[in-house]
Amino acid sequence: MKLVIIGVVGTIVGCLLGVAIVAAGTMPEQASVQAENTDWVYDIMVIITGGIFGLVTAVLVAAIVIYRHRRGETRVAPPVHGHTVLEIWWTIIPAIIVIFFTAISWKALNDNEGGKADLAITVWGQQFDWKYDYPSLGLEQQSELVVPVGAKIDFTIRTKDVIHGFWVPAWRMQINATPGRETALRVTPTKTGSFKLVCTFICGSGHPVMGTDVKGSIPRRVRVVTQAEWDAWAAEAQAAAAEQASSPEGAAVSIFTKAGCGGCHAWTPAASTGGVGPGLDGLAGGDAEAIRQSITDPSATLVSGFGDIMPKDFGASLSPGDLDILVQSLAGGGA
Amino acid sequence: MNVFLRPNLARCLWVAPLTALIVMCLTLALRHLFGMTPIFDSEQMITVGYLGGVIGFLIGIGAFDTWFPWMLGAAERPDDHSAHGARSWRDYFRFNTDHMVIGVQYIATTLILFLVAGMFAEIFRAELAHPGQDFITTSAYNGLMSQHGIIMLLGFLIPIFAGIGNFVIPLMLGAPDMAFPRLNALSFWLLPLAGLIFLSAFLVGSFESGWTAYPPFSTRGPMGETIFELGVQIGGASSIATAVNFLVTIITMRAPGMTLFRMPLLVWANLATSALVVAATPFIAGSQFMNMFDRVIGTPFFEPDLGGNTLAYQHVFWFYSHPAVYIMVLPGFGIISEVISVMARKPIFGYRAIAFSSAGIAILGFSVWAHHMFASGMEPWLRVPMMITTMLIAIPTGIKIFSWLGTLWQGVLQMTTAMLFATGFIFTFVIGGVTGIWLASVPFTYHVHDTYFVVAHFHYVLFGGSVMTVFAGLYFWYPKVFGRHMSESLGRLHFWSTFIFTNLTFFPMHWLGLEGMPRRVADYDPSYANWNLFISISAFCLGAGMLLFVYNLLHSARHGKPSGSNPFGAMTLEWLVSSPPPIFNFDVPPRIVGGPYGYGIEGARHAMFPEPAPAETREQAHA
Repeated sequence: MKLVIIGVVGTIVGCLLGVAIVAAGTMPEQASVQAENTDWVYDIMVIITGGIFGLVTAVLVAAIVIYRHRRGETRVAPPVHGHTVLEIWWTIIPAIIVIFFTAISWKALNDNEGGKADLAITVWGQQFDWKYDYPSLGLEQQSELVVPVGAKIDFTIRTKDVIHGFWVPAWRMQINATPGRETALRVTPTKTGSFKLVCTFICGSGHPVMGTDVKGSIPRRVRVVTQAEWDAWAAEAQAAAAEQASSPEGAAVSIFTKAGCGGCHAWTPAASTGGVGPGLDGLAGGDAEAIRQSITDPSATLVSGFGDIMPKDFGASLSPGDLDILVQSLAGGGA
Repeated sequence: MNVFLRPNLARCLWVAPLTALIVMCLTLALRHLFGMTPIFDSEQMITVGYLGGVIGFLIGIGAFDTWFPWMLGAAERPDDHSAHGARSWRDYFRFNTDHMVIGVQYIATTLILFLVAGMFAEIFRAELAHPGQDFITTSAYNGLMSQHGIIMLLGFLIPIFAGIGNFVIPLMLGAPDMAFPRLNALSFWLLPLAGLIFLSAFLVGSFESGWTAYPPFSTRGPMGETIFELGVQIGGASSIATAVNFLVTIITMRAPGMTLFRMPLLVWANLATSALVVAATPFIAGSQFMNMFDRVIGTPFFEPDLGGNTLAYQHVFWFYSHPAVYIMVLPGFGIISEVISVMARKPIFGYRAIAFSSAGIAILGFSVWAHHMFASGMEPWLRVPMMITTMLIAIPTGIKIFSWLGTLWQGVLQMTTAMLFATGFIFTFVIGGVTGIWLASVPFTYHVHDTYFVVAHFHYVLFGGSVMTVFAGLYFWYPKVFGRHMSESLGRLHFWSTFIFTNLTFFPMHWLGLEGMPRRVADYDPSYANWNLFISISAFCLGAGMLLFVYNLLHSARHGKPSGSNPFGAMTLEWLVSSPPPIFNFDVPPRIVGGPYGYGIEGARHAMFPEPAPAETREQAHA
């Protein structure tokens, strides 16, 4: 009887604790359909498992308080070896609970991924930044991911080098960028605004830089805008890209952007502001051979104050022609 | 015989480098013979050099002194048992075949590695106390973080249970020793080698890919990665050999009358664990061999540029490494069952349910591995089946928890330090178990995968869970090893500091993970600064508490209160012999006449000895 009262009280207090945790809002801002589905599962799990935690803790503490051996006490414990009915119940009830959790998780998963997509975007991970391709717009962008609110977006996540993890906490969605394959993520943003974009998978010395808002890096952001704003942004970006392609320095800037250099390096012609590596504007008029070596063999000479974290494979991934154009352009101050 | 010729550490000093040198020269000769250029390849040299060194060390310590002559067909020497037992402290530094000596060797080695890996955690927690790069570089951070992980898992948690089991299990079974004493000694001596190999990676640039070593970051990383892969091989070999030994010992060497359902629950737990190790550990060995071959001889297993498949690595790796989680916690469950029943003076509640749940966890444990890969981009259909099995494995774990509570209820609880750790374990482990259920949910994992939430979860399971059981076991069996108690007052202080600061250190990490802090970062968003400072301070206090334990452990061996043979009034066999037990454990072979947990039952006995009677036995601790 004592056990029943303590157990029931413990369970109720535990569930209330769960309700309090849910009410206190432990999750970040909720900005997608997927986030709503996920948080619903999370809230239910927190409340029910809170009850289990309360039950165990209450019985544990009560047993210690009531039954601890006191000096001089000669009580002998009852030689109970088990209780079949009780044991069956504490197998069945947890089984029902976890099957219930599985069911609601499965439903949330289906709801998250269902329906036809309105927009496809490819995200490229690279040491140590992201790059965004908008195939429907013919655009390739670096610093910021811009998406329209309310659209069902299919992200294809790819990587140029090692594994990265693409995570937007406000969307509650992440997936790894895995070499040699394309991974997919469905998001339906429900809120406009600017949200954190975090790399969750250790990808090298620059990993924290990909993890948003670290000192010295440009914050990685997802900007969610209205459809009208998005259309305007797309038109503007397309115009800027067209203008760049026709300008004399366009080719170099295009190579620079496609290779992802702007994620770490500031260079005025490409309008990049990355602060992980040294700025490149000061290279104008410099020694072309030294610049070439710093791209193909970045460990050879390091600018003081910067570590040896630049990927070593640009010599292989850039074609010799592109490398020439880039080196000339950097040495010539963008011309 | 000269000290450098007898089997001992002094002989290792020259045999190990000599063997390494011979193999390296052989490799150079072969490369020359096949016209390979350049003739010197540092990755290959370090690989064969390390392997040669390991073999040389084992030859030096005397691991093969019996086997080599036997293989060469020399007349078999009857074993004179000169390598058995310890007469002075020096005997602990020899190739000793006594399971009790090996148990102590294991525990001492693993505790040293525990302190080293804990120190690494304190160093990077200091770096993380404040946002921005303060005093170690990101590379150094990654190296320390990876070393912390692998040494804690492979150098401490898995082998310390092998150590406790080594000491206790043959005694519990009524056996004179393990089934294969020489193999047992060999398994132990691989362990300090594995630890040294991991640590030596600092000399060439430590591995930075975390203990999971996912390619292609690991295949393209500095030479430390190769050393990491070698260390895993050596540690894994040690683990497999021990597990085979336990399996054979438990199956074939039980005392007359000890049926399966009269075995103490620690023995059941060890049986399940050993089966897991034998079946699963070869997979991590395989994954690390393939990773190493990719690096050293250019095979294309996992290197995507050569057509390899990085996801394949993750599948093979987790096919071991999820069962490994149970390898790290099942023996702890066994310890808790022993401690709680003895200290509650009450039979264990639902003996068969606990025994079967160990077996159930061991079997189900093989079907859940891909829950580590929900967000890896693996085949999407695999997610739901793996979610179901992962949810289901919570049921046998829950059965154990409820059974322990059933044992405590109406008991006469002796709140010794061992019991404090056992009950504290239930509290912290339930938190880790609950978050484990959440993480089984695919949509939830899509949010918190590879964040501090996961870090919080597995530290609750492994620190709040496994490490607490280790402490419970060490305080419990310490009197059996030394015939003296550890100080109870220091023990209590150690418990409370561990319990409080474990929660203060790891609980806030849940919040950070939900908010958006990824794991394995040397730097973070300044808005997380306050919680990180709080966590770092708690972690320092947690570490300081361990110093109490170390002092207590060392000081009590000489100055502790004498304990007699059975201070807690336990019924299992190890308590029915003197403390420390005689060489070969039992002067008279015991006979098992009942279950191991007949506490509170008039006249109940687990074992009896035919004449003459052994050392005094007492039925009640407080009698």
